[in-house]
Amino acid sequence: MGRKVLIYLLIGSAAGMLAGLTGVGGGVFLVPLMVGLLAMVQHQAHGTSLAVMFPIALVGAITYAVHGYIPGQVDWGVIVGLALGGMVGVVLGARLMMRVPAKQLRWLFGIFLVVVGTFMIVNP
Amino acid sequence: MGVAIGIGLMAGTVGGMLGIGGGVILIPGMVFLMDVEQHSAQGVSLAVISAMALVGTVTHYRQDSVRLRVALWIIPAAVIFSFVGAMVADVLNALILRQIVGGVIIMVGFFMVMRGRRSEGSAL
Repeated sequence: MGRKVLIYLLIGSAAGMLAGLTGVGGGVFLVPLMVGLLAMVQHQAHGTSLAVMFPIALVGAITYAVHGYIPGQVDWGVIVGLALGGMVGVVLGARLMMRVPAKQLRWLFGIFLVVVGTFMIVNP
Repeated sequence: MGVAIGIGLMAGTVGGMLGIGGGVILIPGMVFLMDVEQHSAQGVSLAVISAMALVGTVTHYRQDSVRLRVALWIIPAAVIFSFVGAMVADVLNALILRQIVGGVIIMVGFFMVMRGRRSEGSAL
């Protein structure tokens, strides 16, 4: 039990730290860490990652709002549009995930990370 | 608004499927397609992600792909260190930092693709 708690703390601090530092969001680190350190099934890692990201994103958004960056110069219409699209998309994505076998899902995730990482280096 | 819904839909679908926030799509989408300033883009992205992650978590929970206990264990450290990370980010050179993190992400991506067949499972 003690060792497991330590791993939870480690995953939480690593993902939170990197999310705060880069703004990329913890999922990119949460999923591989949960699969690697907790031997979690790929599908459950994806779902659980979103559950952890909700409070991280909420706290982050509130911090940005306090500093005046939300809405900033962005129209509320744009924000609502993004959120609406996002909320519909996330349901589609979650359903779609169930149709993809674990191995292919991990490949998709890995390839997506390589693309994202390359983008971050080329266009930081 | 149409463009916003489109970007949100794409970010949501990828995010819901891969268990990430979709900030990787939201931020460049806003900066390059909608001419939003970087800080506002990050803040709005976080706000959109929190809405998305909530809906995504419910969807994933219903299809049994969330391990709630694990999420609850990881959340406290993640939230605290997301704060810490955001503070440290101010002091560090963000450009170089993002490039280093980009490199780490690429390596994690390769690791996920190459990973053996351990804990393969079919779907769940």
